[in-house]
Amino acid sequence: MEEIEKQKYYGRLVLQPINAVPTDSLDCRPAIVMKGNQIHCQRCGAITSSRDGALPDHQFYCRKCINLGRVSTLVQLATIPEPNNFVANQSYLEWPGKLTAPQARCSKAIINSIDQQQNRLLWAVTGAGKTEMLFPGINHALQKQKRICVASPRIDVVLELFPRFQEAFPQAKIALLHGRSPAPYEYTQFVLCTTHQLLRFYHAFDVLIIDEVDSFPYAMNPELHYATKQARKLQGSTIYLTATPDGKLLQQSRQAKLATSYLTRRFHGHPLPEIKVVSGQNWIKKLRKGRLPSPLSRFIKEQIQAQRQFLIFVPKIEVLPKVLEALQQVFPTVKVLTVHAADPERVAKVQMMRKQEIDALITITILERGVTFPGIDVAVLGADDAVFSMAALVQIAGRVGRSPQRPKGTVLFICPMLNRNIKRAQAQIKFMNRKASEC
Amino acid sequence: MLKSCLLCNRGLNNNLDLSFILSFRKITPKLVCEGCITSFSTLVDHKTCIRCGKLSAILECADCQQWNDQFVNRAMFQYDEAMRNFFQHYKFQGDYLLRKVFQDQFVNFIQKILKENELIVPIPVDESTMTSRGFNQVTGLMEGLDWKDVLINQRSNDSLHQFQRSRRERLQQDSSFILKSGCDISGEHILLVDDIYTTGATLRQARTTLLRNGATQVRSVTLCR
Repeated sequence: MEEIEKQKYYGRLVLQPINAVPTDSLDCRPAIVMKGNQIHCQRCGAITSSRDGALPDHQFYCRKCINLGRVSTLVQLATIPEPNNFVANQSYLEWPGKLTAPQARCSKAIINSIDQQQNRLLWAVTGAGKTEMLFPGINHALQKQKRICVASPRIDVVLELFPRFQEAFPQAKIALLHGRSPAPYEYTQFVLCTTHQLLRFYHAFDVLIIDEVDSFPYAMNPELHYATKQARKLQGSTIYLTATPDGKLLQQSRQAKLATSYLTRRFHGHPLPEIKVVSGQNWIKKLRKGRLPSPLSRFIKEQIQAQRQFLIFVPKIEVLPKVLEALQQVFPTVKVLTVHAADPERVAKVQMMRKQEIDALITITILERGVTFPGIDVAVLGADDAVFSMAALVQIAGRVGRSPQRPKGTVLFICPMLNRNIKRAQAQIKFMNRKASEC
Repeated sequence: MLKSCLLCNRGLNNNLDLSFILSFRKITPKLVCEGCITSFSTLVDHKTCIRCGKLSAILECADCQQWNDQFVNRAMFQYDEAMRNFFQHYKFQGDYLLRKVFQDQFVNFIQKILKENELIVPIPVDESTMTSRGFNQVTGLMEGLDWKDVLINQRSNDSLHQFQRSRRERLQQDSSFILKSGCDISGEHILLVDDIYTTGATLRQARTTLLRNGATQVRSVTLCR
């Protein structure tokens, strides 16, 4: 096999027909292992019932990872172990900015973890400047000829990160991989991809950085967790980045099984705005009658007086038009739009909000992360709904007070009753603020 | 019972109401959510072309006037964006479980139009597709029907798939089907079954082969047009 041909297989899992002519250079193993009535997928680790994944003639396939090309008993997985044939360079990093003292401390901890091949959780509050903190660590790894990957569950996050990395590392070739990219795979030392794409890698990376670990779909998806395990080399370091660790990560961090760095201060040095909860009995009924719940109309009145932009979060798409209608009736002067995930004008509407052409957006959970509107306030209707996870609530609260000009702001939750997620979100914000004042 | 819709993965509401429980009817679990079902457009009870079954205001559509033969096809659904998307997952991605989405309806549809003396023959896939895809998308839709495999698709490995050809190329093609050895179809009335009728070239090729080998009458039914 030619070198260029081999590169396609370095640390990758490539599907090949089961009857392909065997070659010496390729490691091949079955793609599906059957155990009784269970299909064990060797790519995504999912265990599914043979009834759902049956093909004719006693062949089987995995439905879980079918979007990445079907894995079945008709194919095998071919790979070549990652050789790390990379050129050592003086330095790749050409970033003119400077880290603040706490950022520098975290970034040093990342470099240490990379050298010692340990995992690390970087718990940084919303608006702390996580990406910049990664630059020295990535540079260090590239110089040490390590193969490195930055992955995020969200395609918008990946697309937003790409130009920033390219600007910081103009000498390094970065492969950008996601489900919508038409470009063929190219072998590079530095990979930026969605977490789904990690399913295509096998023991490839020395350093694997996962951004926004707590977000959908990574948080609830065992296949993606399996993918991160498989994509990294047995010896290496995985670095988790999040503002709102939950479940297992939080547990491991508390039990000191996972080294944790905190970045508790925002880049402008002010504490996070805390959540204010007010009771809003029968808010759905009121909306149905075309009226706004009174805490919400009070909130909007304040916004109008202060001439500030604001966001209103609601739990379900169906509620969006009702809130819009009631709001326009009570406050006809406010320029307001609704936006949701499947909205074709989603990007344009967010742009209008950024340019301050409109006063407010009413939205569901899609705007919870990644978007920054300086100096806004936020209200959440029905914050006790199950769609608002603890992480989502903290992220929503984190939209407020992002600009140094107005580091404070209102986060108003309107709900009939408190629930665990709200309480935990409040506690987590308080915890981070307390930790920030300690150091 | 499935917890989420086969097509959009959203949660499925399989709750039973009291009147259903007391009716002692058999439970047929939902596979697809309401939203996905309504995204497909049915051709049943609509004005269609009497030849090919396409949605058409006039008796015989322009395509069929051009063909100008006695070919008759019946179809269940329009081949629109939603259907294209379905076949992308079912046929090209190879999600065989999706056959269940239309299976029951399609089998009912075929049984309704089937004449007593008619023999059901599915359009086969060629050998290389069969080894890579692992199934025939047509017979997958027909589980539970009595059909006979009399045709062989001998599209060679390096030649193009039908969907890779233009309309003109498809129409100029010679038949790519041959009769399976040892099959006797002389005097038979045959109902051909395929998944999609696009230009009608595939079905006409199969029909030519069947008529050459002694079949008396050949008509066809497809899931979409």
